[in-house]
Amino acid sequence: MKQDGAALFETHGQDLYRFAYRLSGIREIAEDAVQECFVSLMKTARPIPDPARPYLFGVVRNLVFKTLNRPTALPALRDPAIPPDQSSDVHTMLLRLPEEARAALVLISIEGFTYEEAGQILDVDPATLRVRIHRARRQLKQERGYEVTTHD
Amino acid sequence: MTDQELDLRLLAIPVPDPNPEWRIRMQKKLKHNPCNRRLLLAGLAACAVLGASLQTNELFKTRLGIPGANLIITTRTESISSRIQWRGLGNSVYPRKSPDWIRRYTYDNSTQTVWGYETRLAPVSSGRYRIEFRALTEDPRPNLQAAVKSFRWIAPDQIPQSREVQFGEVVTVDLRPQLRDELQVNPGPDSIVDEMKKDPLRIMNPVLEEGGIRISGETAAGLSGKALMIFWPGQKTLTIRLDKGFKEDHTEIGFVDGKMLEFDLDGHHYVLKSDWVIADGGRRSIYGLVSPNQEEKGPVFFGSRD
Repeated sequence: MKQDGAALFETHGQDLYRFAYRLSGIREIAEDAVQECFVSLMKTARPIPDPARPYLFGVVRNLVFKTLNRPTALPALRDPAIPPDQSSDVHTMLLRLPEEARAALVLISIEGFTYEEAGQILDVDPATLRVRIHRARRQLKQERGYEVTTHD
Repeated sequence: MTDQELDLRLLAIPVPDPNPEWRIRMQKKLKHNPCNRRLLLAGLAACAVLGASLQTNELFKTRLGIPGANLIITTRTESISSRIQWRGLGNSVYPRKSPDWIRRYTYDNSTQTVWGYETRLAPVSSGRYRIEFRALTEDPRPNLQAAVKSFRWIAPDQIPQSREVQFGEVVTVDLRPQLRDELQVNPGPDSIVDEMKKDPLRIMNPVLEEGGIRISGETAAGLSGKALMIFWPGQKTLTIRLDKGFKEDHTEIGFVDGKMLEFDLDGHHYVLKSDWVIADGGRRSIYGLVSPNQEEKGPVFFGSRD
């Protein structure tokens, strides 16, 4: 189903930017990823799947990690504009997680995707995703020095 | 700590607002979204029914300055509504003096195909030129962007017969069903100057020198665009811009000042001379990106790109 790019940006642009920022920790990378996502949509003749939201998150996730994996990517883990506090410490630890675990945790815990939807975005089955989320949460809690309490 | 408590901490991660200019930039870019264009086309089609004079089936227009004349190549589709069929179309025109054939390629991202033809102009008498055509003599893909290299190369439906034209006359080349090039020769080069000056970079009758010795072929053409290209056939292609490019992958290599452009590349110092001022604004830095060139070896020549 073809959709209006401007309307898609109005609907999902801010969410995609926040998603990209949480994955990268760098505002410029987040802005560029969202921009490149929509610019590539404008250039391609391929229709955008319906619903568009999971598809757009998948594209932005790929673009963020592509940028971060470039040899010239900035080494910073966190935007220096954000003063360090407890929340940004969590972000720093989130950014230390492996890419797939990081993306899974942000999609499920922050963006509110279901395991099925996040599985489609990350191209893994929901069971594998559950394992990744479990391990990612455990790693974050251990790094924070919290007692590990889960419902799994 | 429970999963829910951790999730709350993740939700509380602060996210800075994006740069205000970013949103404005995005809105400007998306104004030209082809999806939006469909709505625009519907409006335009309605105007056409009401008798409005429209030229909206134009996809590309390329102007080439040649001695004494301008060659304008306009790519059109059959109708306003069929424009959507050619959303993924790309366009390249490479003028060369030696041999003096202009190579013209079109690549279609939706069908992953490349096709094109070669043409040249020969003056016959005052105001009359002979337009000659032939099939492409070289595989164009090595010269195109990386994404196009794997495309299929196909011949145009028909290579037109060479013929004589007078200024203003239009010769049509059928590229594909519902897609055609219109070639028009106009007096020049004066009328082209203003158009080319709108571009950030422009060169007229460029000459490339290394150590004071000319290394470029006999190129007599005006070229303009956001990027200038210098081709070392069989070696490399250098793209020159006034900025670092969209991907910020161009690096500073020299400067442009008036009708001269100087840069260093692979340990060599080059000077590019033009009959026109290359970029406005006095002395400015230039940025370059080098890519491989798979053509047969030959003299250095030039191109431009938007």
